[in-house]
Amino acid sequence: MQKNNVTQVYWKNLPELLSPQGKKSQSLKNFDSEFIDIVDYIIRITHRIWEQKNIALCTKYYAEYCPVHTLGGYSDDVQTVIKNTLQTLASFPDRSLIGENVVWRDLGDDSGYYSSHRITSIMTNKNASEFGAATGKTGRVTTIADCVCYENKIVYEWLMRDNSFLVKQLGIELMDAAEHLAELPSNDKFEIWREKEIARVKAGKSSSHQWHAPIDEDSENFARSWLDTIFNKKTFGEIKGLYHVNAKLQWPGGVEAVGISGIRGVFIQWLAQCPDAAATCDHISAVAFEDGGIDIAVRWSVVGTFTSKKESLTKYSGQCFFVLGATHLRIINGKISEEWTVFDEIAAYANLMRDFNSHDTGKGV
Amino acid sequence: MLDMLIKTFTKGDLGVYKSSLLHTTCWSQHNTKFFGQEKLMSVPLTWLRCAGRCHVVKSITICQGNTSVIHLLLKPQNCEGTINYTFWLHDNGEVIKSAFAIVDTLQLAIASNTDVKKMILALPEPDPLVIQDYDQQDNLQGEFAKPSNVIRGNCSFSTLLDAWWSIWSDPQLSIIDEVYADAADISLPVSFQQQGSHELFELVLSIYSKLTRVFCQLEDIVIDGNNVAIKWFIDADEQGKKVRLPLITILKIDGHHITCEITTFDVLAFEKRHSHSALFEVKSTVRVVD
Repeated sequence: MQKNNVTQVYWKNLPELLSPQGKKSQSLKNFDSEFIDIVDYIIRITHRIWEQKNIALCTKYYAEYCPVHTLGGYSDDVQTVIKNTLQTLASFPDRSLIGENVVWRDLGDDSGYYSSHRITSIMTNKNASEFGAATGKTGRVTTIADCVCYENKIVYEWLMRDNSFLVKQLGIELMDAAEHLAELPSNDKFEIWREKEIARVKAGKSSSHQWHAPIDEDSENFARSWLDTIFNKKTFGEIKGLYHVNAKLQWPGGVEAVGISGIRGVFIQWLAQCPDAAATCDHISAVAFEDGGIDIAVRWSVVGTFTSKKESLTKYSGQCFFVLGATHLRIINGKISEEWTVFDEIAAYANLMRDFNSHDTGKGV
Repeated sequence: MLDMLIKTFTKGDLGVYKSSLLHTTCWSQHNTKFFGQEKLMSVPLTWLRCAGRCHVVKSITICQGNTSVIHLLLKPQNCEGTINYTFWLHDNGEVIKSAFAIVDTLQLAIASNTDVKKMILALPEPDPLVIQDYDQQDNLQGEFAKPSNVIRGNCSFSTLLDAWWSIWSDPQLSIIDEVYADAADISLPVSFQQQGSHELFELVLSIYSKLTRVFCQLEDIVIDGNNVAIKWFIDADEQGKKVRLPLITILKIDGHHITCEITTFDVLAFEKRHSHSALFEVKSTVRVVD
């Protein structure tokens, strides 16, 4: 894969990232002239909105109509983005966002750029949040924010956050957090989107958000093979062809594994709760990694029949289980050396609970 | 990096420490990952609160590519004991991207005359960790990591390293005397004195006796001349629950034998994370595996 001059964040310190000295390396049609490339744009607007607390800048950097999908909800107006940002900062006043990586794709001048931004956040839970009462504890969470950026604005976003890892650090039980979330009102647009997504994934159809912009063919084939081998074919013996013998993996809720056996165990244990899982690959981006190798970002969806043997979850067995997930893969010498997978386990369980309660009233997915 | 670590962890020069960190630096120690300035600063501050000012008795630096492994044998002022502190750094010579460090906290408790229960309380809360169950058998697939398939570049003693690995991973205890030189200096956790191959034999045997489904996973190897650093962990079942013990081993190789070994693991952080464990039998008295 060809290297380019677009900003790489791995070895750069924040002051350097906030005052880029390099020349403009992408066309960035109708973006503010201060930005030199899409990585610079993402890093600096994130810093301005979240760390400098300029929340009103959401109106500058988000389109007025901007669909934001999470596994726990949906919004499509910038005012909701502002409201949610403000509420999160009230619950976690010292929230800081550490941009770990931005994997991007040039969609062409007519479509803008796709960015997949992996962030580590540190935050102290000082006031009540979506997970319940304040705990006063500090936690860390990994987020992957996939955005379509067009003419200086984010016009579409998929947001995946490892909330189960966060609540465990806050001392909240995963199922308590899911129950709390399930009791919060859902919205119709979210339920319609979820229902459509479930039907789409079951039918094995591609997401409607497809672009014909060029992408490194080897990386695309690798990402599709990875998803298909593990989630669809479930041929776990082939994992050794995808991962290095000392590859590292991070999955939601504090799941960590190193090496083929451990990684295989993670997939077997997770897919056992949804044995007929089917997955679709919804987007792929790939960029060269500055220390050698390739970074690939994959956004994916999984749907299947929930089949848990855990006592606290058996009552949801037979229901439809849906996950919106994102994975960053670091490929070195043709195999994965590191993987970060993020999805919101709490929201996935909360959706099961909501559906269970709705079934009692004759509704539900 | 050696100079920075010595200034930081013996004298409290937090300025030089801070200047070596990126805003994205991750420091992993005591089974906790520290991100962000406040948390990163707490690492040397917590160490200094427990150990006080100290001086370096011995240091070893092993570098390959962007990885620097630095071992410090530290002696706090006004006490007799020494403490092993090993740093596995991913750095570019100027700044650290990530650090994985192991302190022998049992040595620290003894050296600072602190009750181990108090020392455990003083350690940070471990990160949530879920170790999913997996098949720890190779099933003739040849897919386990061993030194010879992780080493970067040429290495004339990869066979010796594979043999050393088999002591732990198989466990092939009978080859200890073939792998180590007769007068090898072996330092294992909570040791204040030179140990020999007998103690190593006992340690490996004890771990395999007390735990079931023991599995050793190699994470990385750094080789610099005749010095080798190995990052690895042990996964196992104990009373039906999974446990994980991270280790760093430093080996000095002379010809066809290991002449010196320093293996470090954090007993008290292990106790804090796996409070049900009886592996090290640490109560208020100091005892390691027996």
